[in-house]
Amino acid sequence: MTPAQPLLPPADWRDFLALTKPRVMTLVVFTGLCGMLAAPVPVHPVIGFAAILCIALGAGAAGALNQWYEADLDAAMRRTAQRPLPAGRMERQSALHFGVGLGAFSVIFMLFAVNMAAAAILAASILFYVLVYTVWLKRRTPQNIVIGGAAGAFPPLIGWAAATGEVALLPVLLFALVFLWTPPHFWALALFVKTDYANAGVPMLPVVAGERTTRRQIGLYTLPMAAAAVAPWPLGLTGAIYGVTALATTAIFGGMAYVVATRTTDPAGDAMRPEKRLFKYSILYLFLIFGALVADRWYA
Amino acid sequence: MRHDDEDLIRKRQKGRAMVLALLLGALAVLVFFITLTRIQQGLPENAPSASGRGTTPAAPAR
Repeated sequence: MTPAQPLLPPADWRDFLALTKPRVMTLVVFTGLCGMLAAPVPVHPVIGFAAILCIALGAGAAGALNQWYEADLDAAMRRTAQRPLPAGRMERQSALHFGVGLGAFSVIFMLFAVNMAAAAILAASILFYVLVYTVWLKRRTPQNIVIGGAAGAFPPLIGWAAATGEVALLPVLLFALVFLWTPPHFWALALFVKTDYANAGVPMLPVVAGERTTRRQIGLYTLPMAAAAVAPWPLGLTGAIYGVTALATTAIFGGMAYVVATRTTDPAGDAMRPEKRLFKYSILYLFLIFGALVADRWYA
Repeated sequence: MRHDDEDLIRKRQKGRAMVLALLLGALAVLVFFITLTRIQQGLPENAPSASGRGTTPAAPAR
């Protein structure tokens, strides 16, 4: 018989909110909204709101289940040690119940309020993030981010499917863009928080293969990402507003990735400035490119 | 159980109950509007409105 664990007081509602990773959710909601607004079929504002709410709740559920499963990793990393579970502010079981309940609710609500296609893709994205990325890949392979990146690439597809009830070439290219954007984005972060990942035993690429390989991979992944970003224009799926914005912002991304890919860390300590710059710009880049997509559809 | 612990538990329970009540209220409002939207989308364009008059004039009978 094991000694009884001391009972925690009920978690504060703010801790449940923190479980949903609200900052990550912002980008997910934005790309989902843009996918919906870029669709050729206008969606009723009430149905559109319901779809975006379901995307947000689904992302929150995935985040909660991720934190439930990774509580031990989070405790070992400075960046995540203050989350509700590693900080001891919440029972693990509460996080599990919350995540499963929220995920099931988001999919069922999407099914009844919006349509079957959007609900099916939402369910697939939650399951992919939790089972494929969190449970299967994250602790096993340095390619965790590459394959797991698909989970974050689903929202534009869901938004589009919510408006049209089906999937087309443009949202598939948007999926490819976010999918290929994820490795340079996360590896730039992994380069400057490498020690954190190493301490937690997460096989991120800089920990396992070293900085040089990681830098080269950032450069390599940026090439197909740039192709996916620009492709909708020559394919006639978008107009010049998107095309010119995609060219300009992707060129800046490419320049920053080139700097990161070709340099070596200064042993005297340069605070990893180019890597931090690329990480920050990569977030802005996605906002700009998806914003341009909507502007192109509405104003061109 | 200490008095402070009991206060904390009550405070958290009250906060969670309040947030849950607000969320359920918002959900009820959302479901109401979704239902209205679905009904509107399901009706043909010249269907009679609640007042008994059509939204678009019907063609005269020959």
